[in-house]
Amino acid sequence: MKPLTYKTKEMENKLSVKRYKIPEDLLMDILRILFGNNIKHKIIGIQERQNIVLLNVYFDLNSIKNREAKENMEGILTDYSEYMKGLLGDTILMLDEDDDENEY
Amino acid sequence: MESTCLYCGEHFTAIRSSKKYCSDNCKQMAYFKRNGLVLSGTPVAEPILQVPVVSVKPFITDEVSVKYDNEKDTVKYGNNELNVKYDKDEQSEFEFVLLAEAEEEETEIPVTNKIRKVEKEIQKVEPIKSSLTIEQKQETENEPPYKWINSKLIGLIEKKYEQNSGGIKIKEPFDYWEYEDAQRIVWVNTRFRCLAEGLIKLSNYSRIDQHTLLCITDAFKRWVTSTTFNKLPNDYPFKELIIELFLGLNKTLEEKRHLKMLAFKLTKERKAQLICIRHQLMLHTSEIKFSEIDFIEEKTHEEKVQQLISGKNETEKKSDWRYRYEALKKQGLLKNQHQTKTA
Repeated sequence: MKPLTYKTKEMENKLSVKRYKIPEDLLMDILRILFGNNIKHKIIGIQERQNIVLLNVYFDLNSIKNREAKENMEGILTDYSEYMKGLLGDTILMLDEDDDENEY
Repeated sequence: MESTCLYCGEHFTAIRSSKKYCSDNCKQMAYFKRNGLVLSGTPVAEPILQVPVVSVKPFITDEVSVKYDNEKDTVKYGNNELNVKYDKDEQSEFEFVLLAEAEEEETEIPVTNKIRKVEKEIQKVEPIKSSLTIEQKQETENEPPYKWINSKLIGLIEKKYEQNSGGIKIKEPFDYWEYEDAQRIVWVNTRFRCLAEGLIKLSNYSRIDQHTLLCITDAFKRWVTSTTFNKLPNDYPFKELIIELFLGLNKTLEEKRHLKMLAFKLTKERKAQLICIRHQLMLHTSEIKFSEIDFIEEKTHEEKVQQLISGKNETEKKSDWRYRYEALKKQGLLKNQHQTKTA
C-alpha cells in the first residue's frame, strides 16, 4: 500500500532563499553539491575582478537532503573564510536574503 | 487415536497425533492459564469448570482497564475487550500478559473464523499514526544517506596542517633557536607573511598588471639575496619553498614580459601550502603592508643613525645629539678630546 503523504501546499512551496558569494577556489565543490542533490539555484552575477560568483540557492527545508546540503555548503564557505581571514577584504561569502549586492 | 486432554485430563479420540485438548473450551482455558489469566475460584485443572464467555475485539494500544460489575467484568487492554462472566460469590484476581506477546508464543489456539475476521479488520483499519510512522521510516530507509562533499582546496590545507610544516619552530622561534637565529627568523617570517598574502591575493584576481608582478618579484629578489636570509639556520622549514617561489616568479615574469595584463595563477597544491603557512604565521607574526616594508637585510646601528639624520631638516639635525656626535667624530674632535683626557 502506498503510504499517505500529508504535505500541505504551503509546506511544498516553502523554499528558503540564501545568497552566497562563491570564490573561484570553491566553485566546483559547491556546484557538485547543488547538482548532486538537485537543488534549485541561480547565478545572479559575477565579480569579475575577484573571480567571485554570486549565487541564489533555493533550499527546501522540509527535505533532509536539502538541509544537509545547506550545512555542507556553509561548512565549506566558513572553513574557507577562516583560512582566508584578512585576505578577502570586505567580502562576506554568506549573505542574508535582504542583502543587496550591487558590485556585479 | 486415544489421547488425554492436557487441561481437563479427560480421554478423547484425536484425529491428529498432536492434538492436546479435547475441546475448544479446554484450549481457551489452557491459553488463559498459560498467560496468567486465572479466574478466581476455579480450580486450575477442574474439568467441571464453568467456562466464561469471552469475546475478543481488535486492539490498538496497550492500555489496560478493568470494569467491575456484579455479574461480569469488562477487561480492556488497548481496544481489546474481554467480558468475563463469573459467579459473583467468588473472588476475582486477574493477572495480565500482553495478548500480542502471548499470541507469538501460542501456536496451539485454533484460528476460528471470528478471529480471522478480526485479524482482517485489524489489517484493513490501520490507524493514521502508524501509517505516518511507517511512511517516515520508509522515507528514511529509501533515501540514500547524504554524501558529504569536501572541498579539494580545504582538504589540501588541512593535509598541510597535519604534516605540520613549520610547526613549533614557527610558533616559538625564540624557544627553538638561539637568540640571533631567532631574530633573523622573525625578520624573514614577517616578510614571508607579507609576500605570501600578496601572492594569495593576486592568485584570486582574474588579471593583474605586469608592474605588480614585477614589484613582487623584485621584493623576492632583494629578500632572498639579503644577508639575513642567507644566514638563516639550515633547519628553517621554508627556505627551499621561498627560493622555489622566487625562481617560479622570475620565470613567469620572463615568459610574460610582453604582456601588460596577465593572469597569475597558483596550483591548488601551492596555494594550499601558502594559505597554511600564512595561517600559521598570522598568529605569531605582525602584519605589515607591502608598501611599508623593506626587503633588504636589517640595517646596522650606524646605518639606522645615518638614515635618521638624513631624514631631518638642518635645524633639527643640529639639535640632535646623534648629529652632533657624528659631526664631532668626523672633525676628529671627539678623538682629540678622548686623547687629552687620557693624557
